[in-house]
Amino acid sequence: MTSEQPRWTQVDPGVQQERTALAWERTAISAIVVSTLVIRVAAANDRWPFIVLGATFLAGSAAVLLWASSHYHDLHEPIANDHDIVQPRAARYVGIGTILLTSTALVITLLDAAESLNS
Amino acid sequence: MIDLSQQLALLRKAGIVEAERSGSRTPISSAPSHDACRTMRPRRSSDPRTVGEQPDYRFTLANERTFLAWIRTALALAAGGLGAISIIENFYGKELLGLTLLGLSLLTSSTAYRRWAANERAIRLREPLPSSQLPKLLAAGTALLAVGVAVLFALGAQ
Repeated sequence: MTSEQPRWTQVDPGVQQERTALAWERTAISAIVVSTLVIRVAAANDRWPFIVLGATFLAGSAAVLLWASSHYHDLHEPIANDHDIVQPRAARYVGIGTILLTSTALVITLLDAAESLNS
Repeated sequence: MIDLSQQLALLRKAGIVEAERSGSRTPISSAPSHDACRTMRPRRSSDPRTVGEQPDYRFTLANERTFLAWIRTALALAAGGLGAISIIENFYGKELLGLTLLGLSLLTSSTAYRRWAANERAIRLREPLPSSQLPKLLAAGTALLAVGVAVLFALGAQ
């Protein structure tokens, strides 16, 4: 006689998925903070393209946050069935997004520094 | 002159042919193309699933968390750089401080994905994980910056 309970609820006593989901959520929250700072610094000098960029990063970070909270629940079953769970696309998007975000922050800072040198 | 087993080991290391099968997990690698074998050019796909065999999922998730820790380090440096520019007032070197922190942030973020992919590839091929000088460089750079800023703050307070 088999149990009614799905097998995947008992897969990992090390709560790997939960720790990884929390790592994704912390990262998304950090990205939200940096995006907000980009908007603040850009708004201080009325740099509208950078405000729009910052808002885009903010929306992307919020999307990662939502994805992380829902996606890891879905990982239980692939782990239980011994399927590959590696996510190169998610890592690539987050890696590229972070490069773009830090580059944007660097460009704003360079513009501000050049402006203060000229004035 | 290298023998056949050495050639196979080189091809496995380059990710051109699949790693040896051990255990019950399914190898992911596809068959090598004729051109790739003839030239023995290492294939460096950005997708690590193309090499080796599926590892223990705990290793994959641990590697993912390490990647995310690097991303958060980059974001923390970026937040520090932007904060230095926008919050600190009446401090002569604040632009330089902000730019240095943002430069370190860009350096960290630009290596994060490659590091993740290299680690994942090594895990799948059961090879030693690649080493890096970046943690040392980052620690030394941040420490030097902190000391420099502390000295400038002390001089500015006088």
